[in-house]
Amino acid sequence: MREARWTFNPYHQRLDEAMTRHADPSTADTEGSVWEVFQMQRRGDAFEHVGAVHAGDAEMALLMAKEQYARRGRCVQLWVVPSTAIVATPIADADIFEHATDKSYREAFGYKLAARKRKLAEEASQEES
Amino acid sequence: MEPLKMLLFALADDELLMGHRASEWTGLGPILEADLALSSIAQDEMGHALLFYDLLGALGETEPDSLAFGRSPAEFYNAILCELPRGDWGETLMRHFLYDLAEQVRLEALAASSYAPLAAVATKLRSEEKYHMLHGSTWLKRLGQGTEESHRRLQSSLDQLLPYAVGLWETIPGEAALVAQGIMPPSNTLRDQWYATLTSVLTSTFALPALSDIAPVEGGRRGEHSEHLVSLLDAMQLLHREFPGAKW
Repeated sequence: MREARWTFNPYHQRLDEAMTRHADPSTADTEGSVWEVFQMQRRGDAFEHVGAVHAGDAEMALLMAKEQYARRGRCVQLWVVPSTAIVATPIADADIFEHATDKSYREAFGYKLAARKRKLAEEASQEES
Repeated sequence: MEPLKMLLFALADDELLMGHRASEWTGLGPILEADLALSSIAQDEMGHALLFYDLLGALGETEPDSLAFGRSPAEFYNAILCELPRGDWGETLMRHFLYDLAEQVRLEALAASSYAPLAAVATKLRSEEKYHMLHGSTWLKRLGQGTEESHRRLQSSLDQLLPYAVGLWETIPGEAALVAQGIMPPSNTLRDQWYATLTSVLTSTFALPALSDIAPVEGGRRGEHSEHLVSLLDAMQLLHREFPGAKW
């Protein structure tokens, strides 16, 4: 544990003071709990992770997320999820996703979607004329 | 000045000054997210002011920048509530709640105005007001029901601000003509509606007097202001006064 340093920025100041009271400073936080924010840009789109906010409870987190992440661009809906609810694989274990042998038979290389769409569109316009 | 312009100036000047006072929190908010939220609300209010100044421009007044930065205190028609110093975070939020609820009542009434351009603007602004109300009520519920200190301080802000908030409903000079033409309902009617809603929303958390027991602080709608407007305009109009016609 160490002495708090004086900083110009009041947010950094509070964070620094909180860190002096914690044995494990990397978990110190003065601004309530952290919530991960997900955004749906247009109805029917998948939710995308856009970042995090600090707030005391879920309602406040939604309010804050609107300002942090929906100020620009499109948004029709937001999720906030306590960061503690997220369970993740350790990044150090990224190798569990690698393939030891060639498994490219799982890929959709042979399925030419764009060509099929074009063919169906041509057939549809031929039927109309 | 014709009553319709008086009404539009009242609406525009209220919004401009509420936006200005809210913007004084930018960079100084208690937490980053709250700072950003209030700064956004400040931008919303200024955008609303711009729409009302545009309506005045269509009636022969000059362009919005000159209206905002070129008029002296006696030419402003905002309610005195809007020129008060921002105070601390709780005072700001309480003032915003009282104001935003008033705006919600006013915009709902004006959306049915017989003056079509005003009805169109009022309808357009309602969605942003919905968020302002959500923001204010979320904060006030938490501070009002938080600790003994937060409750006491917010109750005290409410007690001090109520007379100014009732002053938002000061009769617009020449209002009778506007009412007769269906441009707006009487201010007294809207005031009573506002106070009834305010009471029902706040009564579980705060103590409110009867409306008849509140002595409203008025004068703003007639251009009679407190000294706070002088210092506010000195700050807000500083650049425009020093460098007239400057462009960014």
